[in-house]
Amino acid sequence: MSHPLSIKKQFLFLMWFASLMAIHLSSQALPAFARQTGQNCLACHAGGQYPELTPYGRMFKLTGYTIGERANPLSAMAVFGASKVKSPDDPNLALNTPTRNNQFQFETASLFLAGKITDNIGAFSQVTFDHYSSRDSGGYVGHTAADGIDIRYADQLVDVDNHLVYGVSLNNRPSIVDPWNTSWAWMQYVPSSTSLGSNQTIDGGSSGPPYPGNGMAADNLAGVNGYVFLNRSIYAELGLYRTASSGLRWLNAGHPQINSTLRGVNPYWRLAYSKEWGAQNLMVGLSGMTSHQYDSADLGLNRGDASYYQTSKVKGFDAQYQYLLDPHTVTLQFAQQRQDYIAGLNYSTPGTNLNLARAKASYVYQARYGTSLAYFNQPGDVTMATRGSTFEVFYMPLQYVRLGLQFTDYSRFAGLTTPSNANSVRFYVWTAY
Amino acid sequence: MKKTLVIWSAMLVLAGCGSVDRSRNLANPEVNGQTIARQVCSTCHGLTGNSVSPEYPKLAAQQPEYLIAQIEKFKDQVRTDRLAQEIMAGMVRHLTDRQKSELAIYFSRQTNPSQPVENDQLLAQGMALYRNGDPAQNTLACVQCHGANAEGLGAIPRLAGQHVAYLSKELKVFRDQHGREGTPMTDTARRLSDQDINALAAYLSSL
Repeated sequence: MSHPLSIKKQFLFLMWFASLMAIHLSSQALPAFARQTGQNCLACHAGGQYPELTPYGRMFKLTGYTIGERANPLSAMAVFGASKVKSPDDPNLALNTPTRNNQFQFETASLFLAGKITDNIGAFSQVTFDHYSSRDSGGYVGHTAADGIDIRYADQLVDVDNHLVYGVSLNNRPSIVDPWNTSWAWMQYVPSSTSLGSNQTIDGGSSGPPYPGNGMAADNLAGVNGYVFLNRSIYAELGLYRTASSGLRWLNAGHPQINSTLRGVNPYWRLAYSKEWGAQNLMVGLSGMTSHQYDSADLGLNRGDASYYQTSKVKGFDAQYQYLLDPHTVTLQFAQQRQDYIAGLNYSTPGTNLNLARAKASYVYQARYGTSLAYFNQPGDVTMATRGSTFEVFYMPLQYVRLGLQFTDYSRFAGLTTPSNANSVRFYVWTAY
Repeated sequence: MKKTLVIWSAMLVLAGCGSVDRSRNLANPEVNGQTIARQVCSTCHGLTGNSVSPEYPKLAAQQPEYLIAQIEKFKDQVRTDRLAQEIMAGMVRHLTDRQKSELAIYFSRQTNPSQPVENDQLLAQGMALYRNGDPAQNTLACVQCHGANAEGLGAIPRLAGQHVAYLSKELKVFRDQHGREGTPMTDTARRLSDQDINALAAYLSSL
């Protein structure tokens, strides 16, 4: 844990980061996967906008990050930004107010260990430092913890009539294995500190992620997923998740260890149909998970007693369309997730049923200039109904630097009688190398 | 703990199951070029070299000498088009001469079916340009180098059956960008209008 850096130190850190990137410019050093394949970001990321994947990027992921050659597996990422909420003094907005309204600041940074290990095994693992993770009497407190981790074995059988990719993943988060970016772990604009709040609904932050392991109490997960991708058309995945036992605790290092977060083995499933034609591709898919979550107040002391846990049932529909022909990149995304809880008699605070829809359209020119418009809607009573849209323009002067400006407009915002009080403008600098 | 050991043991067993017959390693000289073609190149160019997306050229039935020459140009970064620089240069950086030859032969032996183009007027214009050039503009006839059926010869590429969008893009690279040396295409393409390029691309794609 550490306290936030002073403005001067933040500036020095930014300068250090920029100079490091300048050095890398001349030596053509790239993030770990780029070093491994020798390719630039736009080979795998649509229009260069990470994390959204191209068809090739999806195959790179599905074949276990094994295309290319073993290379330096270390990469880093940092986000600097400023958010300005219209009326931060609205008392009902307290939890969603940026930590420092209208101040440019260092927000989060990640260290990645990623890439090819053997011809069939590869990994993506991320550890993230949240500069404004929590607050104590001395101010905001930074915190470092495991983020997404996906270690997989994969193989590919190819002949004239059939093309089969199959694999197994050890991971810590439902939907992280998914190669499409309408899956819950990946549909996002930009990584944001958990305390910033200006665009959390569209970013899948704290406003209702449906799966355990995506920011809810149940962070202590380990899952084994098997998947097949047949003829680049049919994708099927089955994952089994449970509380990470002692030997797999490292998958969730840094997260609070909640005793027996999940009861037994909890299935996650995914089915998708994909079609590629010309410069276009389309995916429609279904997904879901049933998980038995112990009452955190009970700490799993009453294991096996159904009255002390709740069952979460998630069902989702998602679709993605891409048009990729240099210099144009067009993406349309839609995802809807419904989550229903069935709580045991002695469960202290049952979860709230959710039904969240998100849609996003984006256009990128020359993998350099981009714009997007997103819409999100979570119906419900006045305490939870949230609806709005985010408009963004962004610019990528280098393939691993993105500058973005977002405006988020709310027509409803959970708990606010004047939803527009939560409207926000956000500027960010997102870098990775 | 027992389950953890089982998982780790399984991973270790799987780690030893790799085979160069299905390797995607681009820096292992033991991997056959045909394997690289099937396991890696096919991801964008198609298993039979008939790519789905016009972002990537069809390699089926392409002249092997031309393919090898292009791999060398990618490696030396003398091709000026964006994707050649940003996607291909790194992929081919450690291929051996044997691997280049094997994957070139693999794609050259595939079949490249023609694509129907319904605009007869455009086809006629493209065919005339291809066969006769444009004397008024002093434009050379493509047929002189690329062959009667645009099948190519040696280091001169096959153009028949290629994606319309890819042909158009490459002709515009020759016309609008400088930097490719040792080819008459820069001078030839300089005389082509957008309409000429559209007609040529449509005609060649239909062959």
